[in-house]
Amino acid sequence: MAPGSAQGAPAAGRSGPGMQGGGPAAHIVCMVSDFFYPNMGGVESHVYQLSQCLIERGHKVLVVTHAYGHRKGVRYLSSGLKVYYLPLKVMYNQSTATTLFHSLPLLRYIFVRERVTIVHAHSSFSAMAHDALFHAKTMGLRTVFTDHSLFGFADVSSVLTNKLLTVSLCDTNHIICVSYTSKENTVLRAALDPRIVSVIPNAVDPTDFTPDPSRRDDSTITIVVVSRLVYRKGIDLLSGIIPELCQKYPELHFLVGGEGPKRIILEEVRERYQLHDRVRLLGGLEHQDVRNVLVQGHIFLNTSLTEAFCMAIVEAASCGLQVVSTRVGGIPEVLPENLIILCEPSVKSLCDGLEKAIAQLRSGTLPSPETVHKEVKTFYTWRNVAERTEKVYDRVADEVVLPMKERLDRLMAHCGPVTGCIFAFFAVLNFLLLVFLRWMTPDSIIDVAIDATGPKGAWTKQYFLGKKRRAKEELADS
Amino acid sequence: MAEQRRFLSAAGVPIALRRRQHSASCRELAVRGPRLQLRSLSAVTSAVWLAAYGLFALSENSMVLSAAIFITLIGLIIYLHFVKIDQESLLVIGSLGIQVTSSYASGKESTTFIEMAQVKDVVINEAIHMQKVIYYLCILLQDPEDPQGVSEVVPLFQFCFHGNNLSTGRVDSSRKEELQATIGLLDRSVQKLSRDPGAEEDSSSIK
Repeated sequence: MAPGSAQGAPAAGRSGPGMQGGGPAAHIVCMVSDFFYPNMGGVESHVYQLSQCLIERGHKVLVVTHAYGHRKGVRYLSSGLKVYYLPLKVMYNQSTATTLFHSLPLLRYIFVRERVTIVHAHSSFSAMAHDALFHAKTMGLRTVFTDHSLFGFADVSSVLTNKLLTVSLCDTNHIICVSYTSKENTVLRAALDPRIVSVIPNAVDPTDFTPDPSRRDDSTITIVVVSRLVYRKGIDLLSGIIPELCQKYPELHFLVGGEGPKRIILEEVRERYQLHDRVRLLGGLEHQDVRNVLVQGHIFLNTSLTEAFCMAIVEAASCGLQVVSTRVGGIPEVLPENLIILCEPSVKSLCDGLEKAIAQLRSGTLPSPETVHKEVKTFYTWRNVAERTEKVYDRVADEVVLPMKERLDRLMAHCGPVTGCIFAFFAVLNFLLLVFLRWMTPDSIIDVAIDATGPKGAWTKQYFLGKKRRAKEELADS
Repeated sequence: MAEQRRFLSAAGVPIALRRRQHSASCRELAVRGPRLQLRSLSAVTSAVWLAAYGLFALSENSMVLSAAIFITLIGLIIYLHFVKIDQESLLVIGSLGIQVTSSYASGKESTTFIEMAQVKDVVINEAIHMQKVIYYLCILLQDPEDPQGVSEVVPLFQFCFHGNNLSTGRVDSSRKEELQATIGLLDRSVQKLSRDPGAEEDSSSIK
């Protein structure tokens, strides 16, 4: 179920955890997020691919997430990536409930037994990620946070989340954003020093998204839309575009992949204008099916209203489609101008953009899918992301973790008098709980976990062969 | 021929492992937990009695005191007879099977026998238990209907190693598929204790 692991020659130079040798020391990174496989989405694949590439570079990586149905406990994915599915209650939208304290015993146990040096939390929607940051700071570990989404400033829910984000990030060592727009947004939301915020874009696996012109039907023009059918993705705009363009161009077809609460609107449109043969709704797609849908189309349409970094348009461009998208958030940074047509987020502007793309397609001035693929392939690779993330880790490893007193001062000075005091109080409580836990089970009696990560991991075949042979020799000797 | 080695259990208390080779294909492994500490016993007793005296001072009813006596006595009997395990031992007989015995502090013994044909594998697994992540040694039992399947997971030496009971897990059909996937991984990964008793000494690799 997990996509193929990153292949290729493993980068040498790093000394493995627990090994002496030249070169900078390897980090033991713990990725924490509520969102991980088997759930599907951008954050999930980001965490997985980044972990795989970091393992390839010689670090030890583990992932901590909450239990998904029967999937509880400890699992191993390709190249020994260890995943802890903790039995915590899910509250809303796959995010766990938070009390700031209840996850401390388990997380502390994991951080100690795996000898974690850096805690890397993902996504501001994930309560578990914030909890882990809070605990890691109490335990004196270095912390990194990656923000994957954009927020507003005006409505009540954003005001609250922004406040929480301020508290959570004010003493985090380093923050990673996926685009410059996202960086600007995060710095403003959380009132951060921009110097500790880095921009590392997402990547796509170019081998998963290859063009296949034979799959498209050139007697028609197919517009593909792949997104969750929710308000944020601008599905209401889509429902305005479909009838208008279908009336103008009789050979136009729409292919919509994805599931969500706004599906009913598209179904209504289809019903009202009798477009059953021209608008196909595919429903929810598995990640591996996305490519098969993409290659059937000529034009990819993205109608998002807010987007930090749009993976979907890179995937589409990698499959050789002409991309038409709204000019929102970080999207203008993602692709060069010759590969994308940007429009304002309105029905009229998007229709103009699509008509322009259709005209180019008819006149044959669009570049061929192969050339587009070759160009896009070089833009965003996971190896590059891992390399840049590693630099962040190196930098963080040299920094000092704020001692308790300074941390409290920072909280009170940075987060306003009321919130600051409340959370400073929580931080003290958390510390007392940690002292109690250390008294109950001292760090020294916690078993150190076997390191199974990477090509030198304990559980590769060679180890077994060696072990068996040794056992046999011992038997023969005795 | 017997030898004894000392270890710390996962809860940090000292335990002793004794190995005894009866014959070439028969060997016995016994793990002995710590004895009942006089200190903890007197601590619990005095706590109950102090509480009883407090209640007595409030209610002035002497029934409270006699109830406290009964509670301490019955509690002690139940603890010694059903909870406190002094020693857990594993008798492995090559072609026959594995006998698991636990001796309680009162002298009561409970024995289960697992026939060799039922044993699919012996593995060390990693699991989240209460607020801890632990390694535990367990026997996987063969599912009689499905040669690839596992019907039950029997944890070994649970009391002495972990200080409490990991219940024997019955595997229902909905979880079977997932468990098999895990075991496929385990086969490749966890150091396998091969079924011949000669390699059984790996069980001591748990601290």
